[in-house]
Amino acid sequence: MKNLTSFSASQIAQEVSSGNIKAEEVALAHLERIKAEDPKVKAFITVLEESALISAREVDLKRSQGKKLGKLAGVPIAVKDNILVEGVETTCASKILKGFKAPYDATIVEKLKKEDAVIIGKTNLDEFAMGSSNENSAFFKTKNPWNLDAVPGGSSGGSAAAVAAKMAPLSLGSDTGGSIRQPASFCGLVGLKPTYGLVSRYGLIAFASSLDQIGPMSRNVEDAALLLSSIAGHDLRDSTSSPEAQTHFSGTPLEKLRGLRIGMPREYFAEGLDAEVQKSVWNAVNCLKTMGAEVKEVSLPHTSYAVATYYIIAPSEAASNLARFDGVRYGYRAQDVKNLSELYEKSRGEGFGPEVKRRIMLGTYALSSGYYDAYYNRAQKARTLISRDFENVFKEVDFLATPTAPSAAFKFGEKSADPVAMYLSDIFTIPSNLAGNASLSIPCGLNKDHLPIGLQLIAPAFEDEKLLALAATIEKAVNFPQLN
Amino acid sequence: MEKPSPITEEDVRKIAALAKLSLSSEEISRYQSQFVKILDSIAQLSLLNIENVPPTSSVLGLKNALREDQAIPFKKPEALINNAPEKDGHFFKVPKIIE
Repeated sequence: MKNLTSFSASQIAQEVSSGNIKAEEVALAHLERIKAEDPKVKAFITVLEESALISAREVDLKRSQGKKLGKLAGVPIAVKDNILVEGVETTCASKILKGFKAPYDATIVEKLKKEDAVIIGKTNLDEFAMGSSNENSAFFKTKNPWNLDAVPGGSSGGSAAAVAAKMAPLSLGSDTGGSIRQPASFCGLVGLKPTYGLVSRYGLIAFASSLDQIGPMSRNVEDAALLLSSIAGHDLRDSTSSPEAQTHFSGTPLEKLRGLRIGMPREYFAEGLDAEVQKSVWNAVNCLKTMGAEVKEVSLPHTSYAVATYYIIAPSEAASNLARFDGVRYGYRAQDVKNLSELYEKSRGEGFGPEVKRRIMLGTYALSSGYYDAYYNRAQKARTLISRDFENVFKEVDFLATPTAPSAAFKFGEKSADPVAMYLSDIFTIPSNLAGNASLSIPCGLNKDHLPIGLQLIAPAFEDEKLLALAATIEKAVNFPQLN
Repeated sequence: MEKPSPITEEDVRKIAALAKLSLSSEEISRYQSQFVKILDSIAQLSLLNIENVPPTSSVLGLKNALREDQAIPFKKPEALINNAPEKDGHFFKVPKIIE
């Protein structure tokens, strides 16, 4: 029997298109795997057993009729539960959206369906994508498949765990301050935050609109490129989607690295960085050096202001975006209320979890009269300085190489009592969201506890293809192990 | 920038009212102490010299995206109303708002 859950997405698409395997077999194998693994890992909020089998059979039927199949023929894909799939419950892992059935497909979900993908389930996240460990899900905590006592990272922790545990070869995450890259790093995956505007956000439940970006999570670079090729592109329904958006990505390794300049920003290798993480990252960079790349130290002088800037801008946008959850048109409604104001206050007070309320309050404060200049306006100016740092450094080098996170996966409870400590776990990923550039995490080693370490590569905006190519080159050199 | 005075429970209550969130007194006191810490870590932005720096208004300098103002009918209006916590036919039901 073929071990279909170990196949890459590209292999599945190829084999299904050529008729060597059936999409239905692939779906069944992954559903079996979910039954065996998910009770331990808990990656999924909803498993779409029935509809996955129906769409897999449709793919097989289409092929038997001699029709050409799409790029993702029969590939099971796990979708983060803040992305709308028509008719399917979409909760954002929040009590306030429990029972909400998406009335339409997100643009990217439409695209996946057009490419003959099989949506296998909806994955857990920190409530409204606010968190770095999955501990903020209102329903349950997803575990790290590498070590069930460790967090999978967040907020796309369910999407990461599903792919690492081979319950799907591909998943979609969203990244506002590192929510694709940090869990990819913790679970030994490739996770790409595409350039802002490359992928439509229509149908992604908004957290911070100027920072959110949807991207692929996978066990290899080629699969990430395949999924990105299927979801990228300009969309009239998202006014921030870029008319320049490319739609073809290959993730083919670079043949030669001579002439390629890689910068190591000194601010990312400062105090507080785990020694094993530092060593692994350097090892990967040294591989590139051996292959002919020029490696040099560079500086992004405003890096230390990024977390503070982010924790003003993201909550401000969240406070505004989450105003729509009012207990009137959808979601949770508090009982026994006397008037409309009480309906709003009680529905929101009871429906949102602690971190979401914390950020709504922080954002409301930063935007409130008398504080706007001191907080929001100042943060947007700091954001300009952070973006300029990248513009300047990309005159000197082609890519930046940094750790994705300051440490490997931490244990449950280790940071959950202290919001500031938790916020700092995104210290290296946040700057790319503020500047909008392309950024990905790729596994570069294991620490002594056998937990994955991620290398972050950052490229200028719209250089996503080159970024994937460099990542593929590193992937070949590093030879990172997969879980069984 | 003048450093704002430390946030009080009264401030937290005011913010919660603006954000339309009903909070228990236990939540108010927890948020108050956490806010002091969070705002303290954010206060480092006051060290930046930003006098002549323009605020970011668009991430990658995107221009206004304009399109024809055409109505596109939504295929399944019932899918929208079916999500309502309370409804009356095709209407969302809310408590009386005019006293």
